[in-house]
Amino acid sequence: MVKLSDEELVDRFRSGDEDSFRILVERHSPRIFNIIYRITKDRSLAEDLSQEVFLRVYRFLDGFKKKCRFSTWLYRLTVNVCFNAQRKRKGESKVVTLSHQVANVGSNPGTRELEDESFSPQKTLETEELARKIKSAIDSLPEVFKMTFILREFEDLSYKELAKVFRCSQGTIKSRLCRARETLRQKLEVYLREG
Amino acid sequence: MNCRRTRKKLSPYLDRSLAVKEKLELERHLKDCSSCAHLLWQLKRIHSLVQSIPVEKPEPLFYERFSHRLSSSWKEKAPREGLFRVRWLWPAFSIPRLRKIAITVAILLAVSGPSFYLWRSLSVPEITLIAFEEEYLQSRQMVSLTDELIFPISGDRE
Repeated sequence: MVKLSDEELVDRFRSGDEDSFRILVERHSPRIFNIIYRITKDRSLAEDLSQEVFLRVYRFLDGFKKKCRFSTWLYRLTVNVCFNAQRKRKGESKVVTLSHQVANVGSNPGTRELEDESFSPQKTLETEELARKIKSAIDSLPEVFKMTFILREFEDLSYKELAKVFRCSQGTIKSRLCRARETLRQKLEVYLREG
Repeated sequence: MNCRRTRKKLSPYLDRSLAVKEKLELERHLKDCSSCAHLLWQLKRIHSLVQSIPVEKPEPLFYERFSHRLSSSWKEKAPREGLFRVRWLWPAFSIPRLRKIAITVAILLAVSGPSFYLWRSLSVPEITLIAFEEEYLQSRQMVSLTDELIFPISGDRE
């Protein structure tokens, strides 16, 4: 069966084919969940917010004018949902420890090994430790820098796409990424050694 | 290219978003400057570590759970209600919302204009010339009556 593009599925859904919407959700939900989990570090919250994103897609799909790719529009909704959740959380003054789950890093068998690592136990431990540090360093970034960095690093979005998602200029994206990376570098400098 | 400028360009260099000329200049500088080269190495290392973080997936049957929430939210909020959201009213076309509103207003005007005219012509009686004359005479009588009230007995004065 020919794989339909997102835009074709959107057209089909608009003309009443509910199955197309199911395909869209199943195609994009893992990615959206992963992004939200990276931001919130809470599985149940990530599940809840992912559902919220797709509820919005369902409600507002008529407003999608195809000026950008469907995935870009979806990322924009995701970012909005995350910002709203963050604002709500701040309003409730509920303190959520974002780095409480970093202990699981590296224990997952699906972890991609680093290209330049030999697999000695010592080095693996060091890598796990570094991954933990890097996660908490990402957590400590200001929200908008964190989201920009996550979408760039995990989803490989171009500057142009990121500018559309955040509704700002490419220059702003460039500067946010630059500052995010510099902050991470300064925080992790002591753990990064050549050799 | 000096070190300060180079450091600003390291992030876009990693993202391969530098112009060819800038990229060549930066690479030339990196060959000569070990300090900037070390910064680039650190940024590359962070990038590779970030890439090593495992991808998190939702629990199985995400769509089923979502579908359940969708149907309950539909009942609560009835999100697709309203003139511009009902699909059967706008079948098979993806018309922008503003155009939908414009079309609807045009249809409403086209229907309501003649209906209003019809209603007015049926409910309000036409003012004929005779009726107008009668009304005029009545008002003249009223004027003379008030004149008499103001100056009641012109003969008495004499």
